[in-house]
Amino acid sequence: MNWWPRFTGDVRIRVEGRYAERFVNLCVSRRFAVTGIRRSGSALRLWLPVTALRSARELAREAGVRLRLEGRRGIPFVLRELRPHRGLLIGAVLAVLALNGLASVVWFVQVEGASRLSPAEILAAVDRAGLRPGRVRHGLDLNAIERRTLQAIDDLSWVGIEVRGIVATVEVVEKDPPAPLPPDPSPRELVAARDGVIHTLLVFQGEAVVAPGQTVASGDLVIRAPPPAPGRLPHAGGLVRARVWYTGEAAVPLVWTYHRVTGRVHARWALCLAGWEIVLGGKAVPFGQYESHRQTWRPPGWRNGDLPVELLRDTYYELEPVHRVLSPDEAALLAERLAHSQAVALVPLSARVMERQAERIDLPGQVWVKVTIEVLEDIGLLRLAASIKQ
Amino acid sequence: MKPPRAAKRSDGSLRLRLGAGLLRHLGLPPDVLIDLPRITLVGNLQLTLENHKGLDRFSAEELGVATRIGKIRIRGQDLVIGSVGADEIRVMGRIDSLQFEASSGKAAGR
Repeated sequence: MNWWPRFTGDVRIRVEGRYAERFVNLCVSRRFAVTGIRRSGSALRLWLPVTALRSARELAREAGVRLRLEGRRGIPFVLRELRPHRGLLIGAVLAVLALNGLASVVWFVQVEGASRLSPAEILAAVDRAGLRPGRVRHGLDLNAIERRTLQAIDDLSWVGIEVRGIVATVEVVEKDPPAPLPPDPSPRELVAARDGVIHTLLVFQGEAVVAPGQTVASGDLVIRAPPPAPGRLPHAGGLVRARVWYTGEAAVPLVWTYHRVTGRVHARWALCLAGWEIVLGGKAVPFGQYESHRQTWRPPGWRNGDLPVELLRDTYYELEPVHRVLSPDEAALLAERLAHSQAVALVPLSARVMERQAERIDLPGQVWVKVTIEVLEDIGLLRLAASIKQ
Repeated sequence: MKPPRAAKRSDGSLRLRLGAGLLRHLGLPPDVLIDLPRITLVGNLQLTLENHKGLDRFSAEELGVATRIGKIRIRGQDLVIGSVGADEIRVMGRIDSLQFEASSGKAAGR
């Protein structure tokens, strides 16, 4: 079905005369689109574009036929018929425009999911954030409105706004308030979390068991729980700062062997068919020591199944051993660095480094270094009093 | 008028013969070089004819179309010409038969 004539308009013509076909041929030679030709008694009936009508009269004279206009169709004719009812047409257009305009405005804002908070409170926040009845839908930045609403009301944990047609739905999720913890009446004491030497001891509550300068092991009691008293929980409290040592050690041989890529590369291609590998030429790997890297290509999947074929390329990189001879001092430096980084990794972030010591021992063929880092650290750990635990 | 016209026609058929031979040797489809009519049938409901030279006679039972190789006669019932363009004629209806007539007769139409 060709719709173009509907837009440009075409006319139905009755062609009378012996040479009606000749008239059609003349029209075709002028490149007029002739459609829907039927025989009707001695005449032909056909459709011609309205633009061809004037020339068609000339062609009819040339062909010796008579034309009679029988009908017309297409938008130009419809518009012409509507011309006397211009008001109606304008009204219809205005009505469509008005409806379209009204439909692009948010007329209703509703809240879903509010149980503790009142919807009015949320609506007020959404209003301040920029969404209220009467706003044009397209200019709304919903993400920003959601964010501002969330910031405005503390008790919300999520806000989502969906605009569907002329209704905006604000969906909210309220925060679950944390349940207040019941006070724990069981006695608690402070113990050492690590081995160390007590440096400072500050007792807020309870009774000190050790004194500064004293060595404690991990788990030793430091501050005992206070005796029960009305209006006070029997929890020990205080600051236990101690010197703690962290160590790391490393040994570095004087002859250090590692592997280095020589730059010589060998490649081998293979075809992998359903798990079977077929080597496509290429010699055996000519290197003694090598590192290999495999690349695969598979044909693009077709329909719902991959072809079980893969092309493989193995690339071999030759390696050679390198022996590096270190002087004892170089080896010691390297070992100290390794040991130091080992020790540092153990030190907690809150600790303050006081001192660092390195101990070096030269052994036959290698150098051994131990690094000790001394830090000042809070080692107090609150736990249930031992008498309760049993 | 008569002699030049006859000369032109023999020239045309020579070209046709040469063209056909050339196409056979090159293995090309025959409608590309010499504008032979190409007919497409959809069942017996629709017929499309390309490379035509004009309508000859048309009624609900019969349609004659002039082509380079002579007249093609389409017989059927309730025939309607859906569209006619410079190259293509589309016929709808119930098509019963298709007949080629030698180009000895005078070409009608344009």
